Amino acid sequence: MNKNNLKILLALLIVVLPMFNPLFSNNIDSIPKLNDQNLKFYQINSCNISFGKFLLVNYENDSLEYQFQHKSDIPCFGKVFYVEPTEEKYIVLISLNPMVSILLQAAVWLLLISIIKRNKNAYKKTTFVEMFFLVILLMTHLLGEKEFYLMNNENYTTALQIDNYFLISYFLIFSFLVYYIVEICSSRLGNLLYYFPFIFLFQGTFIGTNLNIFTIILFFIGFKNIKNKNHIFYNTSFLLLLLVTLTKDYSFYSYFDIDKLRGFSMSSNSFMAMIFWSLTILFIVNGLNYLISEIENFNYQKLISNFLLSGFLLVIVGILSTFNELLNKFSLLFFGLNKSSSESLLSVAGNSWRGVSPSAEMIGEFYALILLITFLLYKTKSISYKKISYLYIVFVVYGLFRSNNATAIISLSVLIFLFLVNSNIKTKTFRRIIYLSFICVALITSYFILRQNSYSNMSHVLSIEALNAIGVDEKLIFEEDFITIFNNENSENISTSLNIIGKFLINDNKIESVPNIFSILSVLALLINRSEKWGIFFAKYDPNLLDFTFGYGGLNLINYEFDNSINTPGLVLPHSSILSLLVFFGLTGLVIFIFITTNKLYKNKNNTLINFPIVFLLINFIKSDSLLYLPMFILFITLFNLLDKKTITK
Amino acid sequence: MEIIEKICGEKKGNFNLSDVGNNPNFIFENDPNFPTLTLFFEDGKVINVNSWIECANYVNGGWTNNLLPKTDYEQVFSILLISFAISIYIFKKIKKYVNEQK
Repeated sequence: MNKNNLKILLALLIVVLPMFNPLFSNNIDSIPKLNDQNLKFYQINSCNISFGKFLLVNYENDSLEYQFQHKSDIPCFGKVFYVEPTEEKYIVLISLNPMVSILLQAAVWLLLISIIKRNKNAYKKTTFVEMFFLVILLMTHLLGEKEFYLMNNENYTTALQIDNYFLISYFLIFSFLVYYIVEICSSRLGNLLYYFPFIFLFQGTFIGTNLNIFTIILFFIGFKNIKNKNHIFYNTSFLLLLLVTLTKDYSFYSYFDIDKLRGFSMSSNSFMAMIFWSLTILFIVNGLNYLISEIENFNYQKLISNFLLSGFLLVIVGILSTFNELLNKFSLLFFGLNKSSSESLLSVAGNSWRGVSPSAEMIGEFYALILLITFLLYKTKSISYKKISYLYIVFVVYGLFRSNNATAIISLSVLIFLFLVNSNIKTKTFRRIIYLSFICVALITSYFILRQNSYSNMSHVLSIEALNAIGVDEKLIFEEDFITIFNNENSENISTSLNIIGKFLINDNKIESVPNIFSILSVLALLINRSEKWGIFFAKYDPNLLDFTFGYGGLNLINYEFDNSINTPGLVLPHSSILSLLVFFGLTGLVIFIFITTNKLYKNKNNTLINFPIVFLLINFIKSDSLLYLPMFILFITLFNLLDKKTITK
Repeated sequence: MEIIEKICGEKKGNFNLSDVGNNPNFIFENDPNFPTLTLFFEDGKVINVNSWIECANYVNGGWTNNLLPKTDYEQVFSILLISFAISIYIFKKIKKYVNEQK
């Protein structure tokens, strides 16, 4: 058998075999089939029957639903924890343990990474001190998010004692993890980047933790680049921003349910968590930069093949996961998903299907981006695709339409149209006429979308939605009596950001017929169906001047969520990556981001191959939270770094 | 069964644990000859049992009298990981030595 196939087989066995765990079980020779009569047998034999054994007896039973019990004892791993009957089915709880899960999942993913070819280049060796530093950083994370780990580990304790075997175990696990990451990735640094599209499938989040293997890998790589002289200004500025964030006064919250953002968002804004997550961003950006700089001749053929294959696999795995409950649950473990994959091929709330991805919006953007890059490579680099690629493209198109991401579809079409006009029509005047016609069509379409609203309504809709979220008297909102609302003595529930909007609304000195910035934003929000979501954002976003200037800190959504009295069910994200950047890094960070991005895009305006995909992502980021997900963050930073990569070859 | 007898004592009488398990309305009768035992559950719950079958039923469900030492699995796990690390280190040293000899 081929060595790589053997590795894949071994990876599968690492997931399957522990489910037959016979250790620490009472001797039970035979187990009965699960039914109402034998239910008690399974309930009293908690952690005595391996899940594999259970499955062999009950595989014909189609009234079973599986759920993972993340925080069982170590010997209980892979066994039936409990069976809970409901009216229609039995819920079978399968025991897992975070420590064992980390080891097994890491083994699977590192085995798969080891399939990637080694480079001939000799890379700087990672020293013991560097590895130790990484382990300490991971321990910082473990200690910094106390509530999260208490919920996921029965014996969690932060006491720094010699007999705290919980911490010792984690220290050893992290040491193994870092050691093997260094061992396996060090010799593949020049090739790793070509395989990053697969992280949309192998999302790499460790079950029962707030850690992701790709974060740790990029942490290690970023470490090599941190002293790079070309980035010393950016890195120092970032660290200064972190220093400001840490030293300013902020409300502490011990727990925030990060849900589908697990592995790339802080669950507590403790001092240690703030340091860990801010450094995470710094190291990821540096890591990706280093990976790109290590590639001499960038091979786009290789990259697009992996883009197409990962898009195809995403759709296939998503579809297969809907057919089989067991496959659905085990994909969570094997791929390290942030959220269980869709259980049905039907769309959520009648509009979107996300497959294995945590977000339909993000995956729609990914599919559209694959199609855009495929098209651009074909046009700019004359890349020829293999026959199988066309099959992949069909699946990617299917995935895009099922994700129902209208913005992604429209922006993809517009950019392809612009590219075709730009490259095929040589006469400048004729090109301008086409652009003007296009703008006219867009304006007329917008008019037809918004025509039932008056301008006054449209410019107030954002504030009205925000005031609704706060729970202001409906009569006052209906009458649009903003003077009473914003000047009311009981207006302490109104956030600082909404107060600023209010000042614009009731300002007597405004210039007639000149819309203010929030009126324009309100009309835009209505046009792209974001008035409700952004209304909630302004209702919740309650920073003081320092928070607004420098932000709450990288990946800190906690102060945004809790520094106000608005109760929203579940995780309510800003619904705009740009607004998320404002939350994280404040106006300073946002202005720097916009400046660097536009500057780099302008400088490389002739590199349409990368320029267009970045513009595509930026357009979509206006209304989506995609940048809050690790795969999309990595994709964006990679493309951004590829912009001025001089040595681009076919 | 071994654990049950360790905690509840020797089985005296014709009891069948599955009778209790299959009957949600089963009522435990006090056995005046059975000395009341206090059992503990891992989440800190405490219960007094007054018959052998009642005791056996609870022990079967994971309750203990706290006399059995609770295994610190994390300690065992740490030792296993350290042993694994040492084995790898030794294996690498041997491999290096063999390669040098060649």
